[in-house]
Amino acid sequence: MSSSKSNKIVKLESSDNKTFEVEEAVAVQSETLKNMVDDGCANDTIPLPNVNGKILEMVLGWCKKHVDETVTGDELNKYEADFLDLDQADLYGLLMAANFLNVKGLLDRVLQRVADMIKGKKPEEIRRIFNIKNDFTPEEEEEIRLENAWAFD
Amino acid sequence: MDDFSSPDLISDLPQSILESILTRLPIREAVRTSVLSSKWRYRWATLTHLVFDEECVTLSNDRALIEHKLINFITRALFLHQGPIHKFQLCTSYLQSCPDIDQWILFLSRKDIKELVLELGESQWIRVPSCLFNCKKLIRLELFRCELDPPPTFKGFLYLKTLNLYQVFDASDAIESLISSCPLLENLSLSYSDSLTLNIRAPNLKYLCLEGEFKDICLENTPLLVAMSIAMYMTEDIAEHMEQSSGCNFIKLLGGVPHLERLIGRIYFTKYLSIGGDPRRLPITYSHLKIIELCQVSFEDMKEILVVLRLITNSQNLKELRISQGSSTTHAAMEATDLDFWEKECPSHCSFERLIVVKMSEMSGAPHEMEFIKFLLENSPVLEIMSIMPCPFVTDGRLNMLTELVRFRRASARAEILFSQG
Repeated sequence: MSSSKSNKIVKLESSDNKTFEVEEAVAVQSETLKNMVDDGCANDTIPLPNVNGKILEMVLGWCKKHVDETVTGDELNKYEADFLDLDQADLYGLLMAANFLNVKGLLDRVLQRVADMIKGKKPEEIRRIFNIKNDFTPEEEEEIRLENAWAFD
Repeated sequence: MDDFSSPDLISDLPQSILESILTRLPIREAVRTSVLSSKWRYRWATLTHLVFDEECVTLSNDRALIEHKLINFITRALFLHQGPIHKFQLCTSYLQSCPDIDQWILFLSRKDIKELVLELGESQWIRVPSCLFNCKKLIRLELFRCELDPPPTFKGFLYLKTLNLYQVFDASDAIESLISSCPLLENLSLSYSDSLTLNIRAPNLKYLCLEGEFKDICLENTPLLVAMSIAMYMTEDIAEHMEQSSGCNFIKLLGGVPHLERLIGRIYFTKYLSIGGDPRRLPITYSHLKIIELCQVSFEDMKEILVVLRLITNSQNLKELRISQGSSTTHAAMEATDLDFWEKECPSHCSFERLIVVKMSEMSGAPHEMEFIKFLLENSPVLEIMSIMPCPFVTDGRLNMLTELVRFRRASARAEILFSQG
């Protein structure tokens, strides 16, 4: 594949006014951007008010890695695993961005990562990991325990 | 101290994202998130994909207790559920047919169910309740070990795209009319049903998978079929029926599939195709057919060889051909009869312009097998790989096979003959 369909550059601007330039092949990993390209709306800089520069840079890094033909399967796996070693704020930022930009592979991985953080943990542990405040009154807690006893059977 | 702890970010994520996360958890854990906080109490209850199996309950040696707990779990989950349910999957050997299943399906039929998968224990078959046929929005249906008996008022699943029936007992030709009444059907898979005669009318069908004891298959209206995988088992009953069948099986099965790209035929497939006469001139060519895989082709049966020839000579764009030999007799016929068959039947100007890979396995080195390989080598100008795997029982004949192979003329300079010692 020496000459790709187009060497067009897509310009993106994050919510904090950082601009990024990427090849079209990289950008269209995002279904949202792909639709814009296909509809001919990608000629000027595309503003992305929902995504900040730090997160956008991460997403584009992912997309670049996935169009790079020199990357081996193993390298890609390691990349994906290391990629998601983030703190929660970044993780959710990435989640929202991947969702908005509709980058399927990335979205899937992040969703699974969060699910894996919940899986196999007791409620107290989950609350601690995610800083969820238990706002039930003791009576409510008892009510819920009865309502859902079947799930703890 | 609490004031300076990190914020709870996850609870404020949009509902759709939280649902996507909860869907990736086993359902029991998803339900358990209800105790986390008031925001989480009924988050799980609007999940649209519900997948149940024995992991929903704590296992032990008491099968009756597990069954009881499982029924309780599913019933409670459904009762507390809110909103539409798009997918319901229940796969467990711990449950047998029980009245609760009928109730669950009734409940689902009122919840716009789109995908339903039901696979229960092996000892008992489920009689599918009639309310299943009220699930008008079904897009995907998979049933294992069920008895299907649609009510006379059933007009079909108008949105069904995928139908997968495994060991389904067909009361009164239900399956054939079920297929015909699903106009959007794209994927059909039927395994191990009773000896069926099947007329498939499915104008949008793309993928077909059949496995079992079929007496008679006719693809009456499947113009868009892209891939076909058929495994035909033989019983005495079927063999008898085959002798009496009318019409050319080749045409009945492959006469109306011009867009076919992949063909996989297992067990008695080529034998089945060979019955009913040789369709000398086919009504269509398979210009999209790229991959053919045929198992248990008997090179002692001229009719079966003809089937293979007709198939490949009408597939101009064939890229990959895999054939495994299998004849009904235990020793290969090393004495050839009618070797002039090849001169008579092979088209004189025949070239497999796109054939790149050929894999022949279970080869015994019989004359007709060798002639076939020779025919392919002579007429495949871009062939890269001819892989031959001898049948494990053939030990003495291997050297002879190799000697012959090496002599064959090759149209492709790049063709490598790979002889596997296995």
